[in-house]
Amino acid sequence: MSFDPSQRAVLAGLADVLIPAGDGMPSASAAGVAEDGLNQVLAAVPSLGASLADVLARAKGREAAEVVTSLARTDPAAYGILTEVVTAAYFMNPNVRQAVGYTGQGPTPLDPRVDYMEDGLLESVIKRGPIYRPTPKANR
Amino acid sequence: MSKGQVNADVLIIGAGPTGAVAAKRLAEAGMRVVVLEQGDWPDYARARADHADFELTAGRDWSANPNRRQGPADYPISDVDSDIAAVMYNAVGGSTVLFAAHWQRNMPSDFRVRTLDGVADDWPLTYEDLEPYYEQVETDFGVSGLAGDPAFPPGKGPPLPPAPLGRMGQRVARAHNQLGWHWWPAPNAIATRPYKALRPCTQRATCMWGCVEGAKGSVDRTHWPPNLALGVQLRMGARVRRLEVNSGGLVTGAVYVDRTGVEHFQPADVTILGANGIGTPRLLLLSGSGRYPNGLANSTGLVGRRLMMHPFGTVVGLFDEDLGSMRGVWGQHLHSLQFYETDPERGFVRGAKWGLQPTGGPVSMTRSYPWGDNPIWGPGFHQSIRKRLGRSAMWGIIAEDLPDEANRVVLDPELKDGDGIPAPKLIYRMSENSYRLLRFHQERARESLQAAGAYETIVAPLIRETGWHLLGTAKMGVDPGSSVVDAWGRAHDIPNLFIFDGSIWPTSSGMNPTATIAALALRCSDQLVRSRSNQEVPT
Repeated sequence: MSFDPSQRAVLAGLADVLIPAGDGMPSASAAGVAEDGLNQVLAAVPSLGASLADVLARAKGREAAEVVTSLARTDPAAYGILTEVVTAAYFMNPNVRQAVGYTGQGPTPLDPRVDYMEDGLLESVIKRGPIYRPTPKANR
Repeated sequence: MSKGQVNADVLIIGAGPTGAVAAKRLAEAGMRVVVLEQGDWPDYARARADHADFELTAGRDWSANPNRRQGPADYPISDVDSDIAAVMYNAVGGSTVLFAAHWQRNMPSDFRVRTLDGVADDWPLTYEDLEPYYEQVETDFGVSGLAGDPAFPPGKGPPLPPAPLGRMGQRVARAHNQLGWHWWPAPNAIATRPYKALRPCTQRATCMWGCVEGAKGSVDRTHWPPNLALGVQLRMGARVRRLEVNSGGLVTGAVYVDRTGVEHFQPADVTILGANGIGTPRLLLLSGSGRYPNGLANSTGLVGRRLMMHPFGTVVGLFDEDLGSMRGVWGQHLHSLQFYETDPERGFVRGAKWGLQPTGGPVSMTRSYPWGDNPIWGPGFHQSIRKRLGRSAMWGIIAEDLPDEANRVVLDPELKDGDGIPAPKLIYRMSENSYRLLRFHQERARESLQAAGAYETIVAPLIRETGWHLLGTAKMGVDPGSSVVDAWGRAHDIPNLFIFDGSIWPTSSGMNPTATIAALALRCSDQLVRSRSNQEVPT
């Protein structure tokens, strides 16, 4: 499913209400959410396209902030589609990921240190003794 | 219908943990075992932990809700009359493919709920009866953890050392020591060292969306390759429509539909159900006839009743340092059973287990679960992301669910699966005891995180899609008048029909159930091997 420039413009407006620029971070539209970001989202989950198109059609010609507020209040499903598309697209941008310190779910080998033994951590638990109720003797 | 199948000594329905454990033991004893599985092998090529779209595609390919996933192996589940939606995975490996791998033995009191707390029922076995089987399945699944947990009787620990606590775990461990509360390095079915077919975990925190590392002890990896080498016949894409019974009241085998829609009959001397707490009663109810108008093995009317699904609570804490909680073992880094046992002063019976977990990547920081309706959008967005991402830790709370015959699985009068077989319908309401129990535990979990230094805590809203643990719908017991199967999983009504899965639990415990499901399946299988010379079979 493809989105034309007018639909992308509507998405950009809505996305910037959700994720404005600030704290050294770009706005959603500046991060390409309505351009490459949207393309990547739809390539990964094409089924989001129809629902998103419906949201954009309902938003066309309306003030973006009012649409976002209204969706949040009256149509959680549509609001969920919009926020999922916008955040997924935003955080797929490599510059955004770098700026928030997110390097993805890559591998990190397990630390071989036995950290549960440090500072007598586990000894304290052992000293407090058993906390279970044993099987009643009549049943053993 | 095709009838050319060779008779099996044992037919098992379902290739999840129950079927895998049973097939292994029975094949080792020299039995000819056939397993029918409606799914296929899990496709780990679709696990995208290394891709930028991971958080987006995880829900596409690895959704735990079959109604959302709608794969060819899935059947729909009507849950409009249920407070909790059931989640499961239909494939070789069953729900271990997606489970969080929290490997919790039940505590001794879980087997004696009536005796100790005056509610529900005792199990027809004890912790001590099951202990040797816990030890064996922990070896088979490559479980990591540490012996000596004072929440359990002394005994042998799992074969692999536990995952590290990490920064968030250390904070919480120190806090619990100050509070005098229990914690222990968590047991997980996650390899921390190379172990048989498993590789060591690399802390991607993607355990529930396809473990790309091959570190998680799901039975498609731990059991099925050796089972196939033992000669077990695994037939995939085989959806069982009904069990057949002869005039002597013995099950003769199962009618199943293959993926092309062709029906087959698989004959067997003995049939074992391992299709989970929804699939198993569904099949028994589907197998009704003039002679068995209420379904098979259902003279008590208990098949499908007493459904327990473990209401699930979550509490998140925000910290002022980087805890590395974007990644980790998910899984759990530590667990606490401080409030597991009944205390009458609390106004409810039984308890819950807590598991400390990471919180994931940036998109997860924006979702309504676990963050609730805490405002994130708009001018505060970036600040909120920075507060949450990597700086949050989460307690997951498994609440014991007491049995109630009104909570049940029935056949939906209209909804059908892709083969035209009636779908299950859930009728389930959370009890007042569960609500009280969860509220108490959420407050204590909040105190735990505050003591660990959290400057803000958030109690997650209760969400529907938490029905991971499907238990109780074919109760085990000594009395044929008040239970479906005996202590060995044998149906009281039909002597060559067995149920080994979580359906047979008399009570739910407050633990993640796979350890006990596996141990129980092994114990029941052992007994089947021991008693094989006396086993009644169809002629």
